[in-house]
Amino acid sequence: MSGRFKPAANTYVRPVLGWWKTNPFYLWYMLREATAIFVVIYALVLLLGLICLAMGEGAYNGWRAALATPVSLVFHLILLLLVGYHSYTWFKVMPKTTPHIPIEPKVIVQTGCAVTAALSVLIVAVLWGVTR
Amino acid sequence: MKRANDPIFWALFGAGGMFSALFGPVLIFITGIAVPFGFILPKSAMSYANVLAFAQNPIGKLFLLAVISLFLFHGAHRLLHSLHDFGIHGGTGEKVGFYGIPIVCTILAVLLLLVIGF
Amino acid sequence: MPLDTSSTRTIEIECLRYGPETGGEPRYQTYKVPFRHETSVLQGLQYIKDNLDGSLTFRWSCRMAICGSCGSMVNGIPQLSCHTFLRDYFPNKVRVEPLKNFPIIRDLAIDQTDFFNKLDSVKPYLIPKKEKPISEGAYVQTPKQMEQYYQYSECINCLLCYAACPQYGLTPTFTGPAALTLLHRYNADSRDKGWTARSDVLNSEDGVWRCTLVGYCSEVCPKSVDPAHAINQNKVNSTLDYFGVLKLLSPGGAGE
Repeated sequence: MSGRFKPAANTYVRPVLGWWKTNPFYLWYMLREATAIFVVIYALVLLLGLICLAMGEGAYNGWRAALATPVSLVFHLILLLLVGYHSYTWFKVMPKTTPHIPIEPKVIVQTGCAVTAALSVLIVAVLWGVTR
Repeated sequence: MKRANDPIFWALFGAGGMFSALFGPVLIFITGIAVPFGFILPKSAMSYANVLAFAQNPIGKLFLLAVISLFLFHGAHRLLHSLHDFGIHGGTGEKVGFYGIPIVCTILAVLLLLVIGF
Repeated sequence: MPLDTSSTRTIEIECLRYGPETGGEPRYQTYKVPFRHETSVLQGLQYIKDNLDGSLTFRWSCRMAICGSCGSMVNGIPQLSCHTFLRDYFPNKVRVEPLKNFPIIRDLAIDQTDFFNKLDSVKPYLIPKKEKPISEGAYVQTPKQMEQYYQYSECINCLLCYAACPQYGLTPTFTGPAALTLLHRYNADSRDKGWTARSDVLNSEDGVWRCTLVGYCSEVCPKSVDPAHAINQNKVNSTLDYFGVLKLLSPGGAGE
């Protein structure tokens, strides 16, 4: 290590790997980070849809049909759960990234979740109205 | 001290994270649960004609591009760091691999959206 | 039913033992320690040293959670041993180990050298625009200006946050929670104009960018300093600095 302080002699350095198994706090952190996998998977599902759309009606309807299967339903329910958890943890962590402002972290978390919920309801409502 | 180039990818990660936090769940619900099974929304909502019209609209294009690109950049940045958490300290090769995928997919999405026309 | 605060019970304290003269692998030694309602883990260790095993080595000083000397892992959690009570573990065993992510010098005493060097590197002192002689009077600061940094000045350098931080464990060149918090503390002080002097450290791969917001540092901090907040609000500043627009857009007056 660099610097004007020199380390002590014959110290014992403990191994670090497997650190995340040692504490529930770390396990929740790993889960939080793992939700990114599912964000990626969903983006790829959409990209696949876009590819099929560009290829024409036949290919696109194939993609649509695949979405209407029980396997796809279960898959998307899992995606919804995990991306929903990503949403929640994203807002839970957001107060740590803001400048030092006199707003309680709890307020930021609740606002984020509320906005997401409201936006979601709004989008489904508008889509429902437009496709009636 | 080596200056980090993280800011570029962190900014994309942040944008992707916010976007996926706000829109991820509802999009999954609509495209993967509601519409395919006619639950709340009709199956015809995602018909070829409807979705083509959406993708041909400039705002629709922007939205689709944002979702695909930002979601992928978000994931790439986070998963690269998750590898590090498992003790896998990759170098430039890994960065190219992880960030390369969203870059390639973004270019692909742009091309597809152009092919689809206006 | 009132607490029986006078009764003495016995608990087992298991301590990690290691000596540089013998080297080798650390081992564990268990001691039977009498304790009362108010007995801290530190007092348990002191009982061991005074009555059972004078060779047990550990750091302590104020015994009231302000000096930052007695940090250790108690059942795997970074704690101040003077601030942790045996009654909360009874009848189970209490395992006391040196703070994680630091080399062990002897028994429960860790090598803090790396932290001292990290502290040096962040220039933890006011860097005014121009040196002000005493004849010109004192600096003036409003309560609102002090509020911007005061919380981050409460750090007692106990190193619990370094023991909590997996990124420091995985990459020991990481500047780390307490040092980066102190870096922020000075940047956020209205009397300071040292952003540029500290930006090399802040912007580096071992600066704020090594942090993945695990957030455990803020959980274990005995003084509620919230290092996670100090570090992560600077990711925005570092990004703005990277694109050369920090002074223009800085949210907290950073950039000077």
